[in-house]
Amino acid sequence: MSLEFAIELIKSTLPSECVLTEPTATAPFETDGLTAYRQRPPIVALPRDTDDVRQVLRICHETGVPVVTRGAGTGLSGGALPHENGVLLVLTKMNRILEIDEVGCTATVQPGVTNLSISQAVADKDLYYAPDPSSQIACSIGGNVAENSGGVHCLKYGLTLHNVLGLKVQTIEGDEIVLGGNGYEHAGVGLIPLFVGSEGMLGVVTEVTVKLLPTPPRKEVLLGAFDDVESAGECVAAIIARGIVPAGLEMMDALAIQAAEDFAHAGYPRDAATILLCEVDGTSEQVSGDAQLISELMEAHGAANPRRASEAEERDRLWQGRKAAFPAVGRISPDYYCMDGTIPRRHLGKILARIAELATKHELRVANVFHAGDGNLHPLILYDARDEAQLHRAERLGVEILELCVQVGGTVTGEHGVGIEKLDPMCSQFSEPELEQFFRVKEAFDASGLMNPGKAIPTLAHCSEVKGMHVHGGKLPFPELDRF
Amino acid sequence: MTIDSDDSKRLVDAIGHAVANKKQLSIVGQGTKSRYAHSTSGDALQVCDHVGIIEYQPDELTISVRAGTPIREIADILAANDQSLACDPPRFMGGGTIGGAVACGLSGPGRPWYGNVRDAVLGVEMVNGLGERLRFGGKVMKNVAGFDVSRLLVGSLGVFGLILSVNLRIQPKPQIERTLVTDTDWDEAWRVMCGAIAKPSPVTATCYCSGSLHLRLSGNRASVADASSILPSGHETDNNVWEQLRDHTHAFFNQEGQLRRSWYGRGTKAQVSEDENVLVEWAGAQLWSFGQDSTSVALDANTDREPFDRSVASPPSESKYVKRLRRAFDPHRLLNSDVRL
Repeated sequence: MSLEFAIELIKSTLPSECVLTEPTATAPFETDGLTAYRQRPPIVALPRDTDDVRQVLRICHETGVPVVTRGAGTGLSGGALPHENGVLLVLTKMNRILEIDEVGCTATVQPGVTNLSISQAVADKDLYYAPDPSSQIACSIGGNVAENSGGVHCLKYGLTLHNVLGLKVQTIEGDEIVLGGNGYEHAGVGLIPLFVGSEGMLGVVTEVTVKLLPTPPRKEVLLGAFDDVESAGECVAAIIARGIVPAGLEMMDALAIQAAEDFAHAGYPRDAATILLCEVDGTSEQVSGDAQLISELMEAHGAANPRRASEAEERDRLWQGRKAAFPAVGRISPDYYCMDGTIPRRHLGKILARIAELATKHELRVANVFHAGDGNLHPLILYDARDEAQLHRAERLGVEILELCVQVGGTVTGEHGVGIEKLDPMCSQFSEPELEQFFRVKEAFDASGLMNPGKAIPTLAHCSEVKGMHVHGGKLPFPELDRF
Repeated sequence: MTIDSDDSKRLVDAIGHAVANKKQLSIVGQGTKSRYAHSTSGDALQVCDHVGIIEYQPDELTISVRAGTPIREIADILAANDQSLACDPPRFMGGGTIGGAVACGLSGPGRPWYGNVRDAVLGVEMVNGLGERLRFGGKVMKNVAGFDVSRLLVGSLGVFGLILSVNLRIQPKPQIERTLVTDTDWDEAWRVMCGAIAKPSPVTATCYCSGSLHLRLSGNRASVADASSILPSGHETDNNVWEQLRDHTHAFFNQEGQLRRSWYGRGTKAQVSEDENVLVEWAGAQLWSFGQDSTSVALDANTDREPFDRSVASPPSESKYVKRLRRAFDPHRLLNSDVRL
């Protein structure tokens, strides 16, 4: 009843082109980047400005109807999956760049602006916005804030959090919270870290001020091929130990290399067990010194004749294989399931070996792509969704991989978010009091629980169900397996 | 070698006891930042015996330390591996604990280039006002599981809970650091400082005071050697000036009166005359001055010069929610209860 009332109120408040309710019109919004989950939204609201957002939130608050905020819909964890009895608030119409300050090197934008278009808008001033999730051509900055998105350059340039200076947030109670601004520090406790990565659970971001960086005058990419994963891992440790913080440092395993090479023809060595791609950037003198040292370290760790690319075309070619890794894997398997665990890097060899064992147990193949600089692992589980048993095994394998990550001191999600996908493994990572603390934080902003309900933080009831599934009669499943 | 002492049981028990008896506690470290912020409500809960490095992995660029560990000791251990904290919190009076650095969230002169304490925090273990021992964040660079409580604690002055330990990102020390100084007017200093933000350069700190501009250059030998174009008239001087600025042992800070701090947006030029008694850091974004009383200092068009005694006062739009957050962590208002938000 309240939903119908809310729909009528929204229809009478927003212009007709900003409200979709016909099933044919709402169908494109039934899923985000996690396509295994689908839910047709009863209503899609497309606000033109902050005032429209406030109106929709007010109506939801007054009628007690849930609201799910969505940006470009590229999220990989189902954070923007619609609520069956709620409003889907889509911010793509709010796509204006409001201000660029080339002296202070900041940009203030609406949430629907795409990540890449910020860099494009300031390229002629030799500036750019550093975080570059692989979906940057399509993903919106509002979504980046909601997920604290990363990319391949995090080790040196940080996550979204490290590049956001200010936010304007609308709460479900009708307040506008102004956080930060265009300076470095601001009076007050500083709630920006709480909102960045909050997955639409606390409020709706309607304005974002980001830091812009000067475009590095020089870049160089190195490619080293290794006979085993351990040597590549040791090479990464050696690079860091020598005081270099590379702009990007990526690792791929044999299956990922072969798939990427068949697809993108980047010139990767097909017979390598592992490759390392390393990018350094900065002033010309800094890059020359760093690249020479990295090349020597790669050779010392068994990668004969590392390739070095300093021209843009050659650099892009080397990156192409890595950037095409996901679609390339998509070609060799009907479906794949992308994991996002992060581990302390020194456990890499052990974890990859264990993932291989688990894959064998579940009769599935796994291709590994790894942000080696920051420990963020993206195992791609290959499966065929038409086979329900395979889908189930793939999901089971995914959960076991994430539990491994937690056991070695890592996390279940490095950059894709929890959404609806990782609610189960969240129960392994956090204790009951920790989850309860999260809910009390949510209550401080959304006492009625209307903002993106059921996402990001599992309820205690959910976790006791999950644990009940795992622990049967006080025994762990598969007691024959080692646990570390 | 630093002392290794796990005092967490006593600290958790003390808060548990306070919860059971509804008694207030004030969290106390070395007290080096007490002029900036301190609490005197209830019994003092001393954190300084909870010290030691829990885990240090140089090639992971992370360190995990107990909250009472002196910043100096952490810096020494990192320096032995040619590394440093990825932020540069002040060590007033030469001291200070890492827990205090997180709770206060203050930054040294490298702030615009190296980030602040919040940027360097990866995870915490804390005790909330219910006496619950909780972990948030982790030991890895990328971690988006759950709300980012660990970074929320930075600058919160202990009102959300007691910090037991903190995991921090660290960084390699640059091969070379040099300091250049020159006499110049404010307009020229401003132009140079803007270039240090908008152009790729090895500059990692700036200071303008009494008509002289200091720049710190960091990087490898070649990149720092070829920096003459940044400050053609500059001559080499001692690197110590940056520590003196960070720790307020620089002569400027040795003045009578109320120390005041102003913040400016990036690209916003403050009005500064050469004979004015101010010190400007952070490429123009942080300005220090002294006032005799609250009315003697002219207010700038863009920002207030607020006393450097406690700046946690939240802006109006935020304060309602900050108060609720405080209740969410410390419902009985037992911890640092006289610190106002």
